[in-house]
Amino acid sequence: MLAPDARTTAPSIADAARLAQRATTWFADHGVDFGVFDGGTLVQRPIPFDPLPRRLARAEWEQLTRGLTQRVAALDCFVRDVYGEQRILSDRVLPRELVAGSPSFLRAAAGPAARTGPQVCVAGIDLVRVDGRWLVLEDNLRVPSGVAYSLAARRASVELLTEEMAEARPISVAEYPRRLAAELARRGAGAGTPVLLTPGPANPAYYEHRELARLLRVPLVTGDQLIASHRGCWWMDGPSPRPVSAIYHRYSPEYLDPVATPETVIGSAFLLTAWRKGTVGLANAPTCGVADNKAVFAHVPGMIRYYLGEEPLLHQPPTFTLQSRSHLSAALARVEEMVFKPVGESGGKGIMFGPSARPHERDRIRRQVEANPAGYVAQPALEVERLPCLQPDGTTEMRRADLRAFVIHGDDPWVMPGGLTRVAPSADCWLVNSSAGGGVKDTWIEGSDEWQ
Amino acid sequence: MAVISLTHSTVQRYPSSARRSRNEVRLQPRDGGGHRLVEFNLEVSPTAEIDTERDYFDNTVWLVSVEAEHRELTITARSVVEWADDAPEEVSIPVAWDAEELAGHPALEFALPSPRVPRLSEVRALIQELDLPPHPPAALVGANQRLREIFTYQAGTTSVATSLQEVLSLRVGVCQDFAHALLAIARELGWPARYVSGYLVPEVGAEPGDSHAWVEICAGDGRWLGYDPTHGCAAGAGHIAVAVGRDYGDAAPVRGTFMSSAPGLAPEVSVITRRDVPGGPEMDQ
Repeated sequence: MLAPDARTTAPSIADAARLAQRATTWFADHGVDFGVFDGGTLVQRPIPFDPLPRRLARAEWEQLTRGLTQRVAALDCFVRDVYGEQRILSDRVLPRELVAGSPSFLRAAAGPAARTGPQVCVAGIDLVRVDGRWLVLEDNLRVPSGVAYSLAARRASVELLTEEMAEARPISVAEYPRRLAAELARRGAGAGTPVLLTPGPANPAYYEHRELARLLRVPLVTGDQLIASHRGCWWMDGPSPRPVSAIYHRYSPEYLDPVATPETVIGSAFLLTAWRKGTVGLANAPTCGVADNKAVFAHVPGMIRYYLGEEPLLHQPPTFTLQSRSHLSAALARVEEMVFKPVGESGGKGIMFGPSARPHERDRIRRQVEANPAGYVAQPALEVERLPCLQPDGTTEMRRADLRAFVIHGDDPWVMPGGLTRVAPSADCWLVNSSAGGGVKDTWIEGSDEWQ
Repeated sequence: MAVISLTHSTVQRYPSSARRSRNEVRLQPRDGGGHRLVEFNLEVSPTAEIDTERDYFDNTVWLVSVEAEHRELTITARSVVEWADDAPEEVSIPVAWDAEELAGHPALEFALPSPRVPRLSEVRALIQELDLPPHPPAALVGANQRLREIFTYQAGTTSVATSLQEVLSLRVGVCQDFAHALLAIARELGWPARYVSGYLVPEVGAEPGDSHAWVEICAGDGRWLGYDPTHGCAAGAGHIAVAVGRDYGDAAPVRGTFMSSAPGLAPEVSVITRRDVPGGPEMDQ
């Protein structure tokens, strides 16, 4: 299983150490930063980059691709349905409470725009390999991030591993911005410019926002530079406002519009109004977060059967919701074998790993889950695939890894050939999230005639 | 048959000039419950761009945008409602729910906690203190009747920003606080319950009335039944509903933002409800 990756290991320790150094320098020189909280303050620093790529065979990837587009198609149907007829809830395929009680079910987004047309533009689906078999661990539809780090990793590979790339011929990922721009244009309303809306430099992924704006060739704007009304949205570019057709936003949707959701003061007043009225496009639609809920995740295979009438092509680990007394006591009796995830969080926040927890920590997990069973799901802790990661001294260390695949959804769904391979910050760490200090690798789908 | 005319005016003043104000306005009466809206208009000063839509809860929302600089914003809603002048309604005893059936029913979302009505241990204590009968329908009717025995109606102590927890400890408030308290009790008892904002039909010959808030319960037969904990009575034909939602946050009459160098002053709200003689002078306008 590890052999294909091991091929890229440089021949000598000295060469390997040099490669590790060049990789670190490349990401620092190109400002490929990700913000991590350090003692309460956000520090932007280069995301750890491991130059040894994950290598996947084309046939394996094509199988994954079919499963990914199927999954995202069903999730998109689900989002439209729960903001419309709620058939899946009336038919009791999914417990109504998971939607009605979800903080991510944004009632302010309800309206014609939430019931018509694709809601998802980009989906980030997290996969892991366990005993050689791929499993889905998480769906990210609200604000899927990370693609720019993957694109940066590829550019670094081109420079650092030129020979290896010429031999392996990974499929190019350069098509991503074009595909995204096309889908964004399809969601556009009227004449005007598409823009990328960022919360600003205080966001951990600000590098990505800048980079995507550059690649999409669209202005990078903040909420205070936008004016919205029911008639549309305008960008305050100098003295005269310019009409905006579509917004690729990097806001959690509940922060987009302070009138719709008075809890927020950022965003732009009446932005959701304009979207509901169909006078500006939003990607992803502000409805999408409802699908990210970890308790909803358990029902995605059911959604695929319900909406598409197909068997799911991708597998996922069993996920237990804990409202039922029997599930709860079964999960708590085996804390050391389980992972507990808060239903509404992302970025690895609040995840509790039973196997690595010390006895007193396991007690804390039990107390926390027992106090709020509906707030968590439990999954069996998986021994996920580890990939070799280069150390500064040129040796390698095996670390847990996942793969975030990026699916562009629309009339012609497309999966970026590769994706963001995320690796844990150390050999004993279970979390691969960048906000937990994890690093990234390039992902090569091998067997292309054209490479870049 | 009586004709009720309603005037609801909100004046937002700014210490320094404001611009780009955006407001969602929920002031248009809903049809049903023995009333019919025959006329509605919204006046905004200064000149505004106005549009309308239905929200998630099927309330009519007026969208008001003012771009130019202004020192004050006045939003006045005038409604004329025809009212079938029925005898006062008896308090209904709701049909109980089968828990399994409620779990799949669209009304379930009103049985769950909401932003302004979270699940609180104080609510269980309040239910004990009210010494309600164990049968949920009787407990609900009892809570609606008796809440006013332990809560004091007092204007000026609470505001829209006061939390339910504070209201439960202060035990004073206005109709909105009474409604939130009954919502919390009803949900704790397992009922789907929604917040209703609206107006009371004034008594014949009485002073002009005010805006009001109460609660509706979805009974096990799917019917919505009105309860007015402020008065300890049914909320029926004498209650003209304007907006519904999980709590005040979903049904707020005027909600919005503006741009200014200084925060706005508290809005001044005036409401006049009047019972008119059909064909009388008010109808000639």
